[in-house]
Amino acid sequence: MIKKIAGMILIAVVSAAMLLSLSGCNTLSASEAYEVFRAAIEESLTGDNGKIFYWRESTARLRPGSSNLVDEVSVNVLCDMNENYEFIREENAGEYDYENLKVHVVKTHDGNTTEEIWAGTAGNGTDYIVRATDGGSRAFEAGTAYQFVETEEFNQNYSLRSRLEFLTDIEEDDLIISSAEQQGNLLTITATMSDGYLAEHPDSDLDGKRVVIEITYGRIASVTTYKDEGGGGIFTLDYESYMLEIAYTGPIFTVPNP
Amino acid sequence: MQLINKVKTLAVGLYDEIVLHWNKPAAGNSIPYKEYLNYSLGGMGQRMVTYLLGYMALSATNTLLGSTIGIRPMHLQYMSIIATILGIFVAVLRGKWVDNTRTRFGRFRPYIALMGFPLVGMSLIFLFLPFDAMTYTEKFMWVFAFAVVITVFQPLFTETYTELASVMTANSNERARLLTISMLISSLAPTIYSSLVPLILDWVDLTFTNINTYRYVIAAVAVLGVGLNLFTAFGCKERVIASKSYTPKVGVFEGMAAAFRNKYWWIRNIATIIGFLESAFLVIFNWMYIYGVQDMATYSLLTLIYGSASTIAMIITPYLLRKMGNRGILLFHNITNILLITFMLLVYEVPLLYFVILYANTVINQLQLVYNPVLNAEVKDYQQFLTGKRVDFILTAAGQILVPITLATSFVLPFVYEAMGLTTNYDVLYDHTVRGNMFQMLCVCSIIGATLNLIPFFFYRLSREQHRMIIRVLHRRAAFADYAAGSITARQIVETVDEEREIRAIVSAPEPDVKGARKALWEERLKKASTAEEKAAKKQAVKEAKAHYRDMKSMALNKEAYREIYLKEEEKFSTAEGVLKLELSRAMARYTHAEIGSVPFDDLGVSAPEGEDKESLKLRKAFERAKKKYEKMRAGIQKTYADGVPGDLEENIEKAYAMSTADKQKIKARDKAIDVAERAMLTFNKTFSFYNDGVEFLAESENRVYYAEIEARYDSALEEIAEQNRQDEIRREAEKERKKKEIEEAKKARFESFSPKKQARITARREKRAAKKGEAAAPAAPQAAAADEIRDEAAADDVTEGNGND
Repeated sequence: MIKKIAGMILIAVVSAAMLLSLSGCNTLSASEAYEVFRAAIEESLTGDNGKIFYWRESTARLRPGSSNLVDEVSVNVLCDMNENYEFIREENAGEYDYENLKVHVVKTHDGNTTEEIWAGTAGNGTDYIVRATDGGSRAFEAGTAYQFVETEEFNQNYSLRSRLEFLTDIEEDDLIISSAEQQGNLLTITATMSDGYLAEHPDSDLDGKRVVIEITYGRIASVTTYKDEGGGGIFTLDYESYMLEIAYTGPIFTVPNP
Repeated sequence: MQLINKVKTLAVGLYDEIVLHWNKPAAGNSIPYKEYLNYSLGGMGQRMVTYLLGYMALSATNTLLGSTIGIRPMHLQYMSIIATILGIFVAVLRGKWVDNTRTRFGRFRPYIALMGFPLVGMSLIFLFLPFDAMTYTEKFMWVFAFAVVITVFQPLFTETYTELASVMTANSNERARLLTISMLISSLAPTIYSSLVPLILDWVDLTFTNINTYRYVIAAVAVLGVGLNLFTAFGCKERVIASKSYTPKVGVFEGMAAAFRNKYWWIRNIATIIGFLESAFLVIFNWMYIYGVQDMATYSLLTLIYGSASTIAMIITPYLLRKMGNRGILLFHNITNILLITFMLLVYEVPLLYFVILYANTVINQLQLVYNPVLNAEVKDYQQFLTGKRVDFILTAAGQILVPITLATSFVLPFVYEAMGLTTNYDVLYDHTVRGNMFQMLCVCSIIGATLNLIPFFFYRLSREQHRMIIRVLHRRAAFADYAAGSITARQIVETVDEEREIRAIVSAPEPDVKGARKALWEERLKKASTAEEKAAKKQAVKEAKAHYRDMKSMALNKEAYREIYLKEEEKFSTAEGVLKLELSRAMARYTHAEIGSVPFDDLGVSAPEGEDKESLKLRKAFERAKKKYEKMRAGIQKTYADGVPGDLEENIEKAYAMSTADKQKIKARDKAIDVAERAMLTFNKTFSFYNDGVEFLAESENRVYYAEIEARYDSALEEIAEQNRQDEIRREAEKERKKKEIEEAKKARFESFSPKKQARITARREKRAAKKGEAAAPAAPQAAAADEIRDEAAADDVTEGNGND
């Protein structure tokens, strides 16, 4: 009886181990990790990835004795999908040949929405670019999402390329990788930026105690910069001074009607 | 028409019963129907509050802590481990707090009334924290603080509600009725809110990934629930149930050691542990609709339909249990589970099809709602067969030893979530690539878990027939012991003899040819039949062959049960170890409790077995073990009872139970006296357990000779039972008449309480109806007459002339 019980427990342990190994737990070298990182930036901007996305960027400033100051921007670029969740494409609609393309931008400061932009076809069937600032009323202007995504405003501030641009500058020597753990489809790179890089980019969001880059399915999933609260010591806690999170499809939303 | 009349009669009878005993319970009961309703409303309140508290659960599948606030799956699991460990310590304190609570409202009602407020209050404070402005570390700390505190103190709210039923009445039938009715009524709450909440979210354009959903919608449900709890807190009474008698307790370690010898206990617990991945798929449906379909109206409808799966399972389980037996239903459940999860893996891309498979899977999984208690009870009976002791609570507590394994395996799923790309940003689930891969992996995990869960059940041999045989053996033991003590009842005599005759019939029956019967059945099934007569003949032949096959299988199982259980029981006194144990027991039984402590083992006159063969060596080992246990017992006696063994322990217990419960102080004093007396008894039993077990074993062996005498009293016992049944029938008829009279008098009193005008109107209607039907016709059935009376009163109320006290 005891042998049978031991056998069963062994089965459980071996199975769990097999499952974990299926997930693939291993460590990459710094150069391997950097290669994967570069490839991920490329992949993130290739094909649908660079056009349909949902990113969220936040920067935090600690205020001792008060709530933190957090600025957040989120951009959701979406289109219609079929029942297999594949993006439906239109014919002859330009680079963004997606059906019913729409864009939603939200900016918040300290938890309050400061600016909101929608672009796309509203419920009444008309295309608008809608802007709202500081909780005020909405301004509707005629325009399509396809037009909006080709503006300089969008390309410089809201496109995924604009978000990942700061990563494309990073050379192998700039990224001092302390660990790169592969866990299934998730690669977590922990690194610090070199002094040379920080000297060249004094206002970089990557200036911190450490930078953690998560890559899933070969695409950049998040970039987080950690700083510590005080001057060090055992009770110091890290906080995210900068965080960029990317999903390659966002939630469904509707463009408001006038 | 007959059915409608029957239903009508039933409904009216029920109405009368409820109205009559709304404020005052029926004779023999303690709880008026008003309290049933209050308890049930409180049950609804409990579920509504735990709906919100459930979102404080430390799991990645929690859409508040995970999807909305964004805590990593592994971090949630770390917090969950800490909460579990803290919970174990706090559970002990909780028990002491509740046990020592003495208020004029009782022990449990204060917690029911009050605990909802701080728990919901804390949850609301948590929900309104400015998560938008927080760093991850700050979110982590707040989640940890609130979730752990709420998780640890929540049982003070939920368990006290469950325990309240045990002090509302001492009548176990009434308690079962209360629990059944309250469960039926209170289960309306989750049906309503689970389907309404998604609809509301759809209407106000919110989702389960938006904090405002929890702040304003789900919190509102919980606040209503706190209010409903007050019905139980103020509308139910705690009636002090002072137990009248002492139940011998078993030491915890002794009980656990006994539990560990129970192979079926091991099989069931190990199956649960190694099947830890089986439930991985459960999160798919929610995530599919929240992140994929994003259609809350459909989600609401499907959630409503989903709730019916348990009901179907509860209806079909007794039939399946009868048809398949214990092992059969375990294997059926687990194999079907594997198949259905495999289908899920194939169809997860199609939400509605996935839902259909999920629904079927839930029906199958919920079979255990009914069969688990049945099988658990059988495992407990097997425990008693093995060890002679009833250790029901300890069987459950012994499972705690496996908690470290459960805690370790609980990291696997969060690891899988993160490996599939789910870390702090749950919005990645909107991406079909991530979601699809996740769902695939979770299905694979579930299939692995379900398969592992299945394996132990191939070793599960505790069939219905074996359990029946165990019960026969337990009855036999009890009957012989009671006969020796002079307290055997007529029913025990009849039962023992009937069961013995059943066993003899099983033994004397020829060996069943199961294979032959199966072959014959298939031959009949495959026979060709073209004409109607041939078909009818074939149908009859197949029916007979099936019945014969069933009988053969049943006899085969019965014979196996006889060999596994009954023969083992008979032979336990004649095996070499049994003989040695008897010899030792006889030697010990020559001394009393007071004397045995001063008798060295060598003076007992039991010598070590000789021989060098395997069996003799095994026996010698058993001898050495017994010698060690004996000497350990002696050392314990000399240490604990250096001044002598007290002889009045049972008397002290009886005195303690007989103490007054007239007021709070006296109750406290009584509880303390019972505690002291029971502890003394427990210490005594623990110290002398080796001696007591030996004496019991000897008595069991000697009592077996009484069967012939018991059988000789069979006919007179039958007559005694027939007479008892007759008396019971007379009592039942008298009770029926008394109740009828009570109802009539209540109606009369009610009629007399009406105003003269109303009385006149009612009388007029009655006369009119009587005239219509004709007084000469057979009198109306009492229940139909009652229905007429209700209509008369209602009609009399409709008349608007004269306001006031109608």
